Amino acid sequence: MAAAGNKLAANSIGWLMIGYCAALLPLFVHLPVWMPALAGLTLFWQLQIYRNKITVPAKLLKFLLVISSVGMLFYSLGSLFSLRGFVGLLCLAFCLKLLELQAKKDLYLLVFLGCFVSACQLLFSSTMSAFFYALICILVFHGCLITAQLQSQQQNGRSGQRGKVSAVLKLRWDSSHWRIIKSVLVLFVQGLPIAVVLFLVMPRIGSLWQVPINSSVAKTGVSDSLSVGDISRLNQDSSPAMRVTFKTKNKPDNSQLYWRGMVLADFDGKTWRRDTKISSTPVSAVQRSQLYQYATGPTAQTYSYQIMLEASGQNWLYALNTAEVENQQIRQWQDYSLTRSTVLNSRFQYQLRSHLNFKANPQTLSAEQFQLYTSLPSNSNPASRAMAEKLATQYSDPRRLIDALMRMFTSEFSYTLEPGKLQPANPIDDFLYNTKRGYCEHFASSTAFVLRAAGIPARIATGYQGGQWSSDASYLLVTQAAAHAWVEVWLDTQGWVRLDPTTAVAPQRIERGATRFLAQMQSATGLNAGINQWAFLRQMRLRLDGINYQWHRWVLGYDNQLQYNLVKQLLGGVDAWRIALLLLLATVVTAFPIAAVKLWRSRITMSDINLKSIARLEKKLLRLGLSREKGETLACFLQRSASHSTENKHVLTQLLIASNQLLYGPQQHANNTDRERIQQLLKELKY
Amino acid sequence: MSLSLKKWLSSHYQTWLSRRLPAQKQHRLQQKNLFIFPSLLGASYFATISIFWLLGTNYDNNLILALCYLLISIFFVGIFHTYLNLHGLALRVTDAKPIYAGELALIELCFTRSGKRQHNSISIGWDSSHRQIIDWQGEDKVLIKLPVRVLQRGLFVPPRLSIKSYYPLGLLRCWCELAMDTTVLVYPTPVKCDSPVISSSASELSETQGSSQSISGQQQEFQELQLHRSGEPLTQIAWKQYARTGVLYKKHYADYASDISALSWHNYPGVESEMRLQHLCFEALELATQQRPFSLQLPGVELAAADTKQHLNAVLSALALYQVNADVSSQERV
Repeated sequence: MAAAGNKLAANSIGWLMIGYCAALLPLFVHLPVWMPALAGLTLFWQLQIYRNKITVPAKLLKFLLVISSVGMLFYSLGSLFSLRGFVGLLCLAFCLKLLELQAKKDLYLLVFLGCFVSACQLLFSSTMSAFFYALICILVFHGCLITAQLQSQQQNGRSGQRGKVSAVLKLRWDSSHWRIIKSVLVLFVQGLPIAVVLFLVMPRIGSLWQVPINSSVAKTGVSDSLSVGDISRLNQDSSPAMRVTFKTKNKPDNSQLYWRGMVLADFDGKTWRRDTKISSTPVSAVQRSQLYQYATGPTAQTYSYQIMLEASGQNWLYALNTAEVENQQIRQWQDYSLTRSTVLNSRFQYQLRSHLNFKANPQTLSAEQFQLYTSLPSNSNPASRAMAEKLATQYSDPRRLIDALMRMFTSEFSYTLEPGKLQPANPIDDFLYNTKRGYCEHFASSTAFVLRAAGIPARIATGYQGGQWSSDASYLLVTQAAAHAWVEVWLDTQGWVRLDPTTAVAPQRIERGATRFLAQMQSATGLNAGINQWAFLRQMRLRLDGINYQWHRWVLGYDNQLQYNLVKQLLGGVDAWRIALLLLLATVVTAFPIAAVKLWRSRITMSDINLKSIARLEKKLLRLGLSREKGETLACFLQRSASHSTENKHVLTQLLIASNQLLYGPQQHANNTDRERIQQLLKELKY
Repeated sequence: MSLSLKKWLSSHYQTWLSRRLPAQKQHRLQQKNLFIFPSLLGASYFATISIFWLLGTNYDNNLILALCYLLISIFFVGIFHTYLNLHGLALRVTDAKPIYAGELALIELCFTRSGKRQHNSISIGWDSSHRQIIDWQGEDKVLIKLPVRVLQRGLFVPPRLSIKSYYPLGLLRCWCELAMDTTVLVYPTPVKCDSPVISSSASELSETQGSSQSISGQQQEFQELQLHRSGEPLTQIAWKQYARTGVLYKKHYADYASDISALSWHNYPGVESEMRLQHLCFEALELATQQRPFSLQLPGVELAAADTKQHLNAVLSALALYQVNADVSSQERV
């Protein structure tokens, strides 16, 4: 770099500009709309400078450009001390520095900036494709570094070049590009083993200081309250909500897969909400010990599994009821619902054990709790209330009352995704007496209302139901479409019991899973059936999701815990020396092929040439009727030959000297002359 | 203080280097003579890596951390690539033609390689101002003429040949400094004597001087008398005039021509000795182009008259090596 001068070759600029466009492109979504325009402007400007059409901008102009664009960024984002502000500033620096591209040091700075910009897209998206895209960007910038080293061959700098942009930038394909791509790929592939090992064993130490986080994570998922309309919107959303891997071989039936999230106990006549008191009372020691007793008992139906929950922007977690938690980050409340101490801004992975048929020992509900779980606003939905009272007098046994209610749903009600609007003042009256069409939310909410009105404690649980098994059945994918709501009812003999009124109306939804069921529903109603209808596409989607899941689990979710387990499993223990040994091994794995291939090959070719030349010699002597015997050295053979044929004695003696020189001479470079000498001497042989 | 420290360090480095890598006719680049160290760009690359690490750690972003580790491993692999880019090259001096002092000595080097590996962007030079770059793709061997400026006549020992390469990423510098066991014969710079040349034939001494004089090449008559200055040979003094006037004059002749010219050290009285050699060199070349035989006489050196090419070379060598002794040839290699 010292010798090649500081002029930039067209090749370098071409590679840099490709990297520039590629690195900025995915970030434009997160940046103000004028950013692409600025990036395009500087690119065009630099191209014109390079083609000698415009001169380099004056200092004052550059200064004004910096000030005004930073001001605009501040104006557009409101604050620069956010993640977007930080990335915006970085992109601004990248765009504006491009104008100053003149010498090699500018190129290097731009390359490093470009690597950052490429990495920054991973702050917004952590999909596999985003990662590989960023990787390719970074490799392009490394290619740019290589062009800077190779540019000595193309001394034709930037002087007086005009014409087409593609010609000026050497964008057309030629062998030099291929050479650079090859070099970069070789560097990348050879570096891969070390990178993987570093990734696996380097300790994660966690955030060093508070950083502005990305606040734009979409708050999808089940919301913290339930009122009409919420869940129907989610039904169309087939994005993943969570993925579950079961540790045990046997897996629960689809009808058992109720991923319970929140428990809603407060009702104001329209909306169900969490009860602040219940959801802030931790699970009691009695409850714990009951669960523990049950878990060790013979009838336990226990599943151990790992859930990876997508970023939800909320802090509650999902589990099969009733879950047993050992994670310090997770808290369990009196109603067995789970929350994490902080909001999920990124994927969260946790392990649980659930006892599906656990029933809390029949215990009486405290008066206070009974009051809570049967309370209703006094003035709402009078018709439903009347119906409940009628049912209560008809059936003294709560179970028979529930059966009657379910029978009513089965016979008179239908499941639909478009129930239409309900009368806002008394929505449950409207549903039960007029529309009679709805989905899980309507059924759950009206059931809970009727039960409460009949004096039976009830509450609503929300979460997901079912899931799709991956093609190799290794994990379960739960999409947002599986969002569901059901009822939990208190029976004196059994405690809290799950009651899903939707099964009474549309049993297939539970048996076959929401996705397929809803797809059928949609196509039956003549709606756009969407991707779900196509079995093949669904398969593809599942397979893709399988890859994606492993990606999330092993790459994104790789944390200290996983690291510890893996290293322990691989190395049989977690000691510094074992890790050092692994690193050493990786180094050897990397270094050995490079060294072996390059050094070895060169040696072999060297002796190959010598051996060829000696083989030629033997062939010639064979024509004289002389053949080398087994175990006879070349020297002995030549000596014997010399004594044999008096005619060629001199030549053969010379050959002996030359071949000795060739094989045992000190310097390799002399070999050429030795070989030539042997060739010459062979021509002098007389037959 | 720092300057003297620098001097001390560099002198120690030089002695260490000359002990470790003595001059050789041919060198093979290998572990013993190759050095490798991160360049300035490599240091900034590490700064970049640290920022990647901070970004990945603070945002708990495994992907950025993965990229960070990838950069580290690319740097690591780069060490091998940079090293192997030079490793295995063999070089020797194939030609070092004599030159005149003040010219660029073109020393021809032959590079061979073991195997068919590519060697890219190798910068080679005797000094920093005349570097050449080899980009070696297909050929079996590469011949390269490397210039170096030589100011002094004599036997020129080139400084250490510096070979360096930053390929592929520029993050590391691999280099070596080799002392090539070769010399270049450096003739004196041919300089025309502004004052007319005196030539002495076997029989007589003649003298010419006086820059104002216009001289035709074929004259050999006495032209005028000039004042004798101390230090000029006594043989040129016009004793007759001295007897008459009491003033020391010297005889001044216009020119001299004969079939056999004698170039002699004594032809340039009062001229500094290096200058004399330069004048003699010029004369020798002139005579050689006219294909006239000439002889050379230097203190301690006598060459009989001839007009062959070999004779010219012998004469020039004699001029180059005149009084060149150990202090030139054992000149410190830099």
